[in-house]
Amino acid sequence: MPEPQNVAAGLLAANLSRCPDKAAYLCNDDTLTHRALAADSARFANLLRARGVVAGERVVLVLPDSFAYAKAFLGAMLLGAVPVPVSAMLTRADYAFILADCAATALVTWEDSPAAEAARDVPETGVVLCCGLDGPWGLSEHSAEFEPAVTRDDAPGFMLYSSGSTGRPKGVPHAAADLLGPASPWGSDILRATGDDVFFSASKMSFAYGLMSSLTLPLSFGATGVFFPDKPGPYELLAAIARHRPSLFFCVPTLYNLVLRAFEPGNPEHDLSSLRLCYSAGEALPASLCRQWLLQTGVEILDGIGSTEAFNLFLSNAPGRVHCGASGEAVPGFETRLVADGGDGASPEVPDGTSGNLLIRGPGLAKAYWNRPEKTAETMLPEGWLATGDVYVRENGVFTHQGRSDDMLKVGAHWVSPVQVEDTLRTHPAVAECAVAALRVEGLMRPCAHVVLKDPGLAQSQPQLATDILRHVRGLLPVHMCPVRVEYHTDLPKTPTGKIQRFRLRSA
Amino acid sequence: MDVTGVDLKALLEEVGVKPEVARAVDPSGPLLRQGLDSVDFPSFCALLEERYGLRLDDEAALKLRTLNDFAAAVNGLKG
Repeated sequence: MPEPQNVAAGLLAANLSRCPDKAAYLCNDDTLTHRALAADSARFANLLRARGVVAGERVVLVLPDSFAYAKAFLGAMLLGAVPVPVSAMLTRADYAFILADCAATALVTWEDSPAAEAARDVPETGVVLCCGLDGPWGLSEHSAEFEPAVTRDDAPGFMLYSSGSTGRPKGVPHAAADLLGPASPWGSDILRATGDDVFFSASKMSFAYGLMSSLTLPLSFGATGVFFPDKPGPYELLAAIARHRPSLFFCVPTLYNLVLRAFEPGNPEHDLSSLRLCYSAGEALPASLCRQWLLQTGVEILDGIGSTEAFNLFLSNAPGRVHCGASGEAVPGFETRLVADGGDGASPEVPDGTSGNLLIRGPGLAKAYWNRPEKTAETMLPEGWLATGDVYVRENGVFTHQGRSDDMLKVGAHWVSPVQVEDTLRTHPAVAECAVAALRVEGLMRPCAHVVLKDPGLAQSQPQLATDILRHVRGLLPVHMCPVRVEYHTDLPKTPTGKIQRFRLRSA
Repeated sequence: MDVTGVDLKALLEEVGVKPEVARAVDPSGPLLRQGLDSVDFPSFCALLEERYGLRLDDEAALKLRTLNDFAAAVNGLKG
């Protein structure tokens, strides 16, 4: 039999032959075997085709991490369509923007979700499939046989959305084969993953990090993944680890901080004995958290950095060689360059010990943003180099994160655009002018609101005003975007042309 | 005079924790079990440092779970 050329078909077929009756996924009390996943993914492809979806069209997925997610993603890929996982935490307006931006013909979501409401306003999105955690109603009526589509290597195979500096997300299309990139060498050589592993990611599948650790890795190694459909709170994560006994746990520093604070050694609901390794990405892991986690739990956390554009980790620590407070070394297969502002792949590198902008080159990088030629030109540089926007210092091959070259903040592994938070702050009646910049608390970056009041006297006469401003914003923005503090200023630092210099307000 | 866990309840309200949640906090119980979230915690730490003019060590701060823990840390650093 010839090798299947469809990436999803290849993954499913390999597991169907080597481990059909093993659990592909665990979710709450339920188990989905590799055999059942293959059958239901084929059924999903047939369902999409029956509803008129064809190869090349975008299928937006707005779902909790669940069996339905894996079936819909793989089903769309079998059809040659382009699955577009999107966060389940967005507003109706955000969904309307994304559906229209990628001209999605189909949306897979839950009944009454804000995305389903948004689809009513987007004429292109004619197909809305409503799902429970297991899949859409009526899936079993479709055939489990499907002839996978063979698509061009350079055609988009799946697409993720990443927040933009103006607050509008931008699509990052990847070739189908890029889905396999994280399996090797990151998965095989750094995580040393095998078929015996059980993968559990607190990061959702709408993020590259979550998709890699919940879909790419379990399926590439014929292993098992754990789906956690709910909002990941520290006690809920501890309980899920004790229950499903994963060997590899993928999480972000903000949550590691909370999980460690919640962790009670000896409590049977906090049994971490199944873990052989923890991984951290999404924002820089503070050295203090890296050390304390190992001390208190006995399990190493490897910190690394990847991106939606790379759909991979390009810098990583390795087991037994952890540099707490650093992102580690270049992952084999990736070239790195640290260059001065405005530099490209041909520019000289800054010397060791000096800050530079990190450029990377390697397999699986996105070639362009979806319909954003200007942003593409800024980020996807000549000769295959990609500007990460991250500033690093390198010493003896080990990279330590210094911050961003733009004003974007990474908070709890989410991108936060200061512009969006500032727009919301300005809706408070006391705020005349404002800027949002990073404040370091416990080694993690948080948004801080720098505010000029319309009436400066209010700072003294109304001691509750800062609380009032914080509460006002919390009622309007997702939790990771909310400032943790308000600082008053009489004026804000500006360039001669009047542009606010947010970088001058960052705390070290 | 030493700071107590009860004194610190007022700071929770100040950083935007809902008054009914802040007032119901048991100073000897873990804050994360009592309705504080991933914004409340760093907001509280930042305000605590500002109000008492001190700097909590990042690593030591990870072991502070209750208002009483925070009060003891503040008193230790003031002392």
